[in-house]
Amino acid sequence: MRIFKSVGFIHYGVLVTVLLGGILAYNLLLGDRQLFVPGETTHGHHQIEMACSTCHVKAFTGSEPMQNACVACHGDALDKARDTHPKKKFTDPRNADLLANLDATQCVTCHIEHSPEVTGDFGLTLPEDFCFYCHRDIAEERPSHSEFAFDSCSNSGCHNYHDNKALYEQYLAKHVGQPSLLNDAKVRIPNAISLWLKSNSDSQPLAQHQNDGHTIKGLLGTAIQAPDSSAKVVQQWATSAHATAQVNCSDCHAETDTSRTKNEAPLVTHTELAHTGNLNGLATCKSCHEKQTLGFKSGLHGMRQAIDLPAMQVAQARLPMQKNASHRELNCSSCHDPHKPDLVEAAVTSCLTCHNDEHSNNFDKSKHYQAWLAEQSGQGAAGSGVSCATCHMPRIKKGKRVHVEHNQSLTLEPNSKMIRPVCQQCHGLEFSIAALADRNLINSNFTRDFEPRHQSFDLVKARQAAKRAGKKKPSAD
Amino acid sequence: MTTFTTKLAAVTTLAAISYSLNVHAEISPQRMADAIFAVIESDRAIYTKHVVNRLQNEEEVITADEHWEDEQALPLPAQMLRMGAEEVAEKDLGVTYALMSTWPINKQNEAVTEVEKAGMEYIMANPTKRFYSEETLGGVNYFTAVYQDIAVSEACVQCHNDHQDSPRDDFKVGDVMGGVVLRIKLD
Repeated sequence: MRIFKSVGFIHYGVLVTVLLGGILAYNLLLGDRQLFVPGETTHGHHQIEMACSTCHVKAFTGSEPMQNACVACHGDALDKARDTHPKKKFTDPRNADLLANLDATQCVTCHIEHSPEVTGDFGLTLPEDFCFYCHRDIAEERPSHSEFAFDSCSNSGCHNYHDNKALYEQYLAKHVGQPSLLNDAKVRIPNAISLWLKSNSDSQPLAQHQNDGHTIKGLLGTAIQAPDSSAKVVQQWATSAHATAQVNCSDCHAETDTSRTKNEAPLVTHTELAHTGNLNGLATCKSCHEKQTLGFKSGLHGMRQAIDLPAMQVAQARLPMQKNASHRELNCSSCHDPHKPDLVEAAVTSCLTCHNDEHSNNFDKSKHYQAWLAEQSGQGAAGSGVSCATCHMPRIKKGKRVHVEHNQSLTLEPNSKMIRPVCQQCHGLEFSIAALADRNLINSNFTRDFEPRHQSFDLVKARQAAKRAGKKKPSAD
Repeated sequence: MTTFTTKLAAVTTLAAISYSLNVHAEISPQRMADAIFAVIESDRAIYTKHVVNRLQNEEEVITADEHWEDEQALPLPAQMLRMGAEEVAEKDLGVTYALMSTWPINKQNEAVTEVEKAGMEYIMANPTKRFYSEETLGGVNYFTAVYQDIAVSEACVQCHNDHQDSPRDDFKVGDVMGGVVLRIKLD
């Protein structure tokens, strides 16, 4: 009897094990893998949490491949930020004692995933006083800091761990005393099309009747309206920058997959148009707009497509979104109608079609919006208006070229990353730092009054005064 | 007999070559450290004299600045050395080097380990001699050498004497301003 019971127990155990194993295997191989997510992911990674191998590379991998995976996605941004604490600063053996306390060579030392209970701002999973590990003697070097708590180092406008491009002392000193609004307050104007016209001065814009839509049989099929010269899309195209730059229908559209190779770019076929109802042509757009496409895929809007996942849907967002936009997905044509590349619409309307948070909803009450309306009506000078895109998709100047950074996440966190490419185009540095340090002010979309002062400037001014006083330093003797 | 003598000579020659190759295949950590330092010191001295000092102090066409990217200026000689050290560290060849000083502008660049402290003390007391030792850091053994870092031009002196965070403002050309610590990982 005892033996029977024992065998029965074993059988029961085997059955349960097989059942559990089956459920787990199904969930892993065919299901949504939710059973294998050990905890809620950060807002930066939740869109790709089911693509486990993006970070974990493969099952039971070591720390090095995972570290490499972090760098593969975030390395460029850190380089651009002139990372103040790069790994290469810590690999010198003389830092071995410091690394024993805090291994600054590994991203996961400070950013552990799947740990919502300890995750703070910027995905930080260490207590906020972590600077203490290496900078405990700071009060000796900077007596002015002796009263500051170690969990206040990264207060907005003081220090960031990675990006201090707008916060280092010499930079602040250089911008002491600037007015809140600069005399020449204007943002840069993107100039791709004007540069193209300059180097193609003989080129004439394509006229409505010059469209070659009729040569693409698929577009004349039953599912899609024939794009004859009177079609709305053709009218829109004829007034667009695409027509100005001699980009014709066949440069983006193809009849079938076999005719995709024109200009060595994948073209949007009739079938795709019929199925999706719009252009999901990230690869198509990339053939001419490579920098913009790469930027898009580097940010929260396009990061799923960077690892070949289906485009993000608005319903997947964690931020408050418009309910009637839940079904929309994120691709180039979500913001840019390809036949009517209307940059005005893309800069405000497209954003507010989906975003429904306090900051976004207060935009139309802001001075920025008033300036935007004035510029659009012709009352304000070119570059004097401020749209959503003006701040969240900064205009970057390299040489003569000004392009729009399409990674709207690049300057979001910490928000002081926005100071140089955005705020300082129009505002003084102290005003900008003080504004970005005030969360309530940001939520109100800068519609409240505030004191445009920041303690960092008080410290810098005191140091400047001490330097002017020329305090004699001790000699070697 | 002749054949035997020839074979013996051949074997002896091969043995001698083999011995010779073995001898020359080995290089002591000290010699290697000295050779690497010679390259570091020479490159930095040439950059300081013929680039920074010439363009900034003599011809006055461009400045050298700590924030050289923002100021569209030349990197400081110390930064050039540091950037080179970081590039070498990234290659993970078992060789690392760093600048340190008794009067550092950045306090993170003071002597940290016991060997560094002893080395700094020694080279300051013996300005013509070098300091060699071994140490274990993070469970790894290193051959450690410390060399004098000498002010080779007016650019070095001026920058260190004028910097608000420099603990000294009376450096002269030819002074030992600090040291270069160079480590070779020992198997």
